[in-house]
Amino acid sequence: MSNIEAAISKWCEEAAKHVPRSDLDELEAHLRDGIEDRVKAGLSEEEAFAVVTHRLGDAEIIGKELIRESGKLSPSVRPRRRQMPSALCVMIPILAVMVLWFVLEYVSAFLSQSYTSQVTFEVQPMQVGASFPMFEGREVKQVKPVDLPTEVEVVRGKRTLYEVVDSLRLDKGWEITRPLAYVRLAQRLTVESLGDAQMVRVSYRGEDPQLSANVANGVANAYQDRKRAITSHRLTNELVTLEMQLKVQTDRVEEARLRMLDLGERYRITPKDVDLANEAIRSSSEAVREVELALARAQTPDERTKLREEFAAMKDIRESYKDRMMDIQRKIAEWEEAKKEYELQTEMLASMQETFAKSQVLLTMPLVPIIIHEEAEVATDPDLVSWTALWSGVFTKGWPALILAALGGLFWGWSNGRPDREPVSLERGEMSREDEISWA
Amino acid sequence: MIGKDLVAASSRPLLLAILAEGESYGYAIIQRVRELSGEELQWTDGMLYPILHRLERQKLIASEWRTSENGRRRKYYRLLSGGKKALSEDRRQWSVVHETLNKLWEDPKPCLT
Repeated sequence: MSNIEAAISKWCEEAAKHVPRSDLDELEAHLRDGIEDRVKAGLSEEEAFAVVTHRLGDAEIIGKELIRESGKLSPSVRPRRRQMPSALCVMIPILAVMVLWFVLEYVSAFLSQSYTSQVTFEVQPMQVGASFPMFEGREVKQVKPVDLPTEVEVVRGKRTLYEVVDSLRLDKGWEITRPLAYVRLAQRLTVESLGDAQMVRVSYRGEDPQLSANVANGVANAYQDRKRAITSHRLTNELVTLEMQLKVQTDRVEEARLRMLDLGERYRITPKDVDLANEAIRSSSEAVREVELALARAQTPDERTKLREEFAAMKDIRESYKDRMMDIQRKIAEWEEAKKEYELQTEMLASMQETFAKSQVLLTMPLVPIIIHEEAEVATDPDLVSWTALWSGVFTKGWPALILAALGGLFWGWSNGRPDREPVSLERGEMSREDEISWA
Repeated sequence: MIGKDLVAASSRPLLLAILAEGESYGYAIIQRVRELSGEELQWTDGMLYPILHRLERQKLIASEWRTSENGRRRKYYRLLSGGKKALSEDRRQWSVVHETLNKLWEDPKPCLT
């Protein structure tokens, strides 16, 4: 490579730092033309290169101007020339998009006529606690009022809605997959609780009036089934608990019976034993009294000493009879208590068995925890197009378009604020602004 | 030498007028300016290109890369119809300025009739 080629490529390399690649070729062509002319005129290559590059000017300044012209970048200049876009620039596109969207919403609502069917039902509290009288004494199980938000969730729950999809074969009817049918059903379904009343309203909005009614009723039925399943599940749980308690109670009765029998066997006390004991106490008391009298009548000290000994012995005998009597009475009381306990436990067992039997019967009976007040009917007229719904659609569905419109308006206002749309002032304005640009 | 404000102001009609003679490329345009003005009208050569690009953006001229007979690639510029209109307007304005100044300079006494 000759010197001049090296110099040119070096110059280009340097210039590339400031000049856009697309414009560099043009400058290089200029450079080569200039050098060629001057070499022809008799200058050396080095001299020609020096003259031409000098005349071409500073690549950095040229680059700045080129970049500003191509509108790519000009950090030092642009902010000064830009004006703040007026509010109108933003408001006009937003308004335009809003109107457009509104018209679209109206047309689509008009084209896709929909029919709404409603079903209203009352949710009753479950009477599970009340059906078990055995709990009443110890632990009062209050029937809780229905928690409506929970019920609403149960109505639009996955299991309930899949039940509807399956029973009405919605996936076949709509020719979509089962999960998609569920999603579509969930989207078109509105479930709401009616104020403080224990009522739930299910509305379904679809294109086919007959299908709308079927779906609404189907949801109510599926919910009823589900509720029944939940109730019987709870009942079954309670029955299991009850059965365990019955077992414990049976054990208790057996224990009491054994204790009673054991005591009877061990003590073997009869009414005659009591009589005999009483008789022994009475006769011994008499003997004591006789000795006491004899003692009072005694004359000699010897006789008195003898009688005193006899008196003490007699008193001991009487005490021993009394002790025996107390023992007998304690044993009788003990046995009677055991007997009473046995009777009590037997009674409790009987009442529990009765409750258990009742609950088993309850479980087999159909429980209806909801009452359908208003069945869904086939709608005869399509839904009215509601203006508020249309407007809310503009904002709920059209917000990305509104934001885009605002940004677009902002950009439009911003680019419009650039004064290079005014060519008359351009020439002087641009040249005198950049003082470092040397003209000639 | 011409002052830089005047050079700047005259650059557009000058370039449009040169291109009105026929299509040309950057280096040749500068040579033509120099030749026409007898070296009086000069500018830093590199600053021609931003002005050409601006005229192109304003749709007054159009450009095209082409290879000349000696094998060198050059960007040729040609006048568009918008450029022709702009040129005739520039010409009218410059004529007005020229005549006005001419009247003052060639006939210094004001005409009061």
